[in-house]
Parts: sequence; C-alpha cells; structure tokens
Amino acid sequence: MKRKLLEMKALKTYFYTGDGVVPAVDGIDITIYEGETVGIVGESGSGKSVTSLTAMRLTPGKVVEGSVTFDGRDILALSEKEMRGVRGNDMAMIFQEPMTALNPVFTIGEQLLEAIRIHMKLGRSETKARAIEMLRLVGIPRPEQMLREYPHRLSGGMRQRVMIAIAMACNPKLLIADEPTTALDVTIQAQILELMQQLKTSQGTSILLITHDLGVVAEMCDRVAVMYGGQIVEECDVLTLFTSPKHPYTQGLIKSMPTLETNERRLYSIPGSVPPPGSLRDGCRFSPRCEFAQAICHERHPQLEAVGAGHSARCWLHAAEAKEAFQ
Amino acid sequence: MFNYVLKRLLQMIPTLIGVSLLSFIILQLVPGDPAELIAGLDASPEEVQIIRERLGTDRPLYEQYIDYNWQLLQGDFGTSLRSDNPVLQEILERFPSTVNLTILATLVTVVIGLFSGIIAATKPGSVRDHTAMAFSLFGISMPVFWLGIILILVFAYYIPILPSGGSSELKHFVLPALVLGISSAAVLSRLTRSSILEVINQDYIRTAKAKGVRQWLIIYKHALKNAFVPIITVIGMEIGNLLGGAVLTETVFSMNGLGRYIIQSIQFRDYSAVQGSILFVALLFVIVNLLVDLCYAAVDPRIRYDRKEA
Repeated sequence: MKRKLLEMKALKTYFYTGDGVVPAVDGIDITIYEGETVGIVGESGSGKSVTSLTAMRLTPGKVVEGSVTFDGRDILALSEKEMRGVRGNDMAMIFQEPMTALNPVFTIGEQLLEAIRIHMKLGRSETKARAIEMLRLVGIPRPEQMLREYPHRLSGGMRQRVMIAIAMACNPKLLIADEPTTALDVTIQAQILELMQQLKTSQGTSILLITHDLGVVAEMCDRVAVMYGGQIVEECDVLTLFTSPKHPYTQGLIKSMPTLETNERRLYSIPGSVPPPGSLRDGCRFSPRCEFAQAICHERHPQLEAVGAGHSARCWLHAAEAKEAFQ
Repeated sequence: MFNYVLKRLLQMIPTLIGVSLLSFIILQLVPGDPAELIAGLDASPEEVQIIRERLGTDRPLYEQYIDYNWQLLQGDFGTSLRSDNPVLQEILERFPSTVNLTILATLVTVVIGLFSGIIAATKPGSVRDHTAMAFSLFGISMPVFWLGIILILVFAYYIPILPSGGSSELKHFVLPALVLGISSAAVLSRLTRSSILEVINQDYIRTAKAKGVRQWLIIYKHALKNAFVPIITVIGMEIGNLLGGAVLTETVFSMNGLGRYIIQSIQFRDYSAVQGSILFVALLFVIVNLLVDLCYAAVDPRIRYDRKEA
C-alpha cells in the first residue's frame, strides 16, 4: 500500500471580508498518495486555488476547520519557521502566470540559487552547479548564460520552465501546480506537461494539479476531484471520470469539451454561471444550473457518497436511499 | 549607455538657455533699478545715469541678454553689483555648506523615511503602522522654521549641546540637517509604505513565500527593490531641492548657504548674482535628474537606455 503524502480532512477556508464571510473552501477531503498525480478540476471561483494555497499555508483566508497532514506532520500546527522549512523544500508550488511569478528585478540565477541556498546547505560552487543542473533538467538551453538573464528577456514557456526548476530544485515530495499551463500557448502547454510528467517519474514527486482543462487532466492525472462552490462534487480515477461520470456537473464539463467526432455547430456549455462564493443557498449548490434537478435538490444539501469502487459523488440522483427517506 | 548620457548632456543646453532667458526676463519685469540702489537715495540723475552706463543697463535688452550669454559661454557668471566680486566665486564660497547640508539632510531623510515606511508596510493596520504614519503626518505638517526654532530651544538653549547657528563646523549642520531631513523623511515614509504595499500583493512575492524565504528578506530584498523607482525619484527631487539652497532653514540657523545668498541678492536687485545663482541651481537640478534616471536602470533591469527606442 502506498503511503499517504498529503491528507486534507474536512477542510474549511473562509475569507472574512467587509461584506461578510466567504466560504471559499467548504469542507474538503483530499488524499494524495506518494508518486500520485491528483487533479482538482472546476470553473473559476470553485475554490480550487484556495485549496492548494491552504496546503502551503499561503492563503490570505482563514482555516476555520479541518486538518492538513503532510508527510505525517500537522501542517496547520507548525510554527511559521517550521513552515518555511517545508515550503519550497518538501512542498513546492508553480503558478498560473509565469509572466508575473518571477521577480522582475533579480536574475534567474539569483532566484534559483536563493531557493537552493535556503533549503540545501551546499557550498557556493555546489549551489551553482545544482542550479545549472536544474536548468538543464527542465530543458533550458545554455543554462550558464541563463543564470545571468532577467525574467523579462524570456518567453512565457521558458519562464514556466524556470519556475519548475525553482520548484523542483530541492527535490520536493509534492509539487503543487496551480493552472501551470493556462497562460501558455498550446504547443508550449504540451511541452510543459511533458516536462512535469518526466520529472514526476524521475524524481518520484507527487503532483497536485489545479486546472480547469479536462484535456490536461486526461494527460496527467491518476485521480481527479471535481470542485463546485467550494466543495468536491465528484471524485474518482481519471478513466472513470471520462467513461462514467456521475455528477451532472462533471457530465456537463465533459460535454463542453470540443471533440473531433461530433459535428455539432455549437459547443455545449453548462447554463448559468458559478455562484459567487458567499451567495450559497440551501440544497445542492449546482441545482440552479442542473438539468436533472428535482424538488429535493433545491431543498437539501447532498453528501459525498460512494457510487462505485473509489468513486464518490455529491448528487441526489445517485443517493437513492437517502432520497427515498426524504420522500 | 554612453550615447544616452551624451544625448542627455546635449539636451541640457536648450534647458539652460531657457532658464537664462526666463530669469533674465523676470528680473527685467521686477520694478526697481539697480543703478538707483547703488547710487543711493540722494544721488543726482546724472550720477545714476553714469552708474547705468557702467552696468550696461542703459543698452537695449537683447544686447544685454546676448552679452550675458556670451560671458556665460566663457565661464563668466558676471560680477556682483553689491560686492563687485565675481558671482561664480561668491556662489562657490557658499556652495560647500549647502552641499554638506544636503548630504546630511538626505542621510536623515533616507534613514528615517525608508525605515519607518518599511516598518509601517510590514504590518499594515498595526500599532507600529499607525505610529509611523502619525510621525509622518507630524513631519509633513510641521513648518521647517517652527521645527528649527524648537530644536534650537531644546538643543542649544535648554540642553546646550549644539550651536544654534553658523556653518563652519560639522556640528553646525546637525540641527539644520535634522529639520530638513525630518520633514522630507515624512514624505518618503508614506511613499515607501504605499510603494511596498503595492508590490507586496504581486505574484512574485507569493513565489518568494512559496520558496520559503524569510519574511524580512521578502520585504527588504524582493519587495523593496521593486518599490525603489518612486523612492529614488523622491530622494532625487529632494537632493535637487536642497542643493538649490534651503532658504528658511538657512535663515533660522543663520547659515551661509546658497538659499540665503539668492534671497539677499534679490532684495538688493543684484541682477547678475540672481541670474548666476538661478542658472547654477538649474544646472545642478538637471544633473541630479540625469543621475536619478541612470539610477533607475541600475535598480530595474527592464529600464534600459542603450536601445534606440529608449
């Protein structure tokens, strides 16, 4: 049995704003095993980024409930100093916008060396050698020269490679990738995904992949959690997700992917839009947009229940017993 | 880079011509005749006319102006009507104390302003933020002459450890530098705070946090260097201003600086001294501006002056 690397239990991260409390993450359970790639899928505003930032304890929101266990340690109980030792070392992160994620006024070398200096106590020349090795590993040509370049001289794809080099520099056990390819050209996307896949196999790193792109999920993930309104609405392995999705939201997401086979003139889209966090109501959060919604869906909030082996969904359609009890 | 500096130096010429023309015209518009002032109240019109001819103020204005510029090109700033000394010599006599004051005041500004701004920015809304900003409000609202008098009272009268006036030794500069430094530190503090707060929400700060960088390093290294461009601008302006002489402060502390010299020259209708000083100060200001622009490139690698489009 593989070891659990990251386990989030009943996690709730709320934002306290001037307009009231916004439950961005509202009771999430996710487990990532060693060497596994887990995807979190959802539209903008579904809480997937906040979930990943909570794992790093970098969210501006407040964790009001639940636990985060990483490599046997209670992340939420660590001191700020201990947490610094985890960030960038055991758990590293890459972001959506490679154009802004690198500091414009420092060289690539300085930003990469910094990460290595903080966590690996190496000598000067070894640190530099490590940096060059990392740049070479992520496929950057002329790494020695690249160390002296500033970020604005690099293309988006190159910057994302540098970000990956920084993230992987200290051999993290978990790489959190928050929409790593969203801002990139399609051809570059494929290269970056391939690079991540390569590093995952060679370094044995687990990946938590945040994305709204089901194509990326199909490419990369072992298991997938679909998020809606701050909660997981369906969780299963990647094959099941595409062959027999249970939740209408997941089905909608899959239907709205363009395919080569169908010849429809308009691409399917889920009617309506994600409710702004904080404006949630009784009943299933997806019910206003759901074409299968029944009376119960608008009145009672469904629980995440097993619908198959390693497959769970939060939907009244698949919770027959509970529904009967209601009627 | 060399080409850029050369270009900027050449651009100074029209600027300085403009300054000389403006100062010349304005002085002509001001009522009062220097010849009458020199001759005294009981001089006969003939005597005044003789002095006018000696000064050359009887000739047409354009002739005077062209003559003046011709002299300038030869490095001659003219002769003071008041003392008969070369204007440039008089300016240079007073300039060292102005430079000293500028350096010390800027030091005070940067140390107090930068640090209180950073301290405030690290915890917005906290007690230390409010304390730093209250100090800043105090500094901005306090007129320099008032603060100067208070400091003289405290440090020269009640606790006599510093001189109340003069400009010959280093200790003479302590109080004036504090006065000038504190008032501009207040401005710099607010600016530093807002610049850092603006930078602190950027993605690359989150990246630095995700790498495990310490909080103070994030502020002093990652945030501050990005926030530096507006900060340098204000420090540069401050230096330029101070080099032009700090009239009020020099008066309160009876210092012999450029500011007081200009005011005295104006009061005496000492045209050549006023024109010379204005030109001198303008030249300094333009040079400081150029240096500030060059500093931008040193701080932010995205700013480059060696390309054609720059």
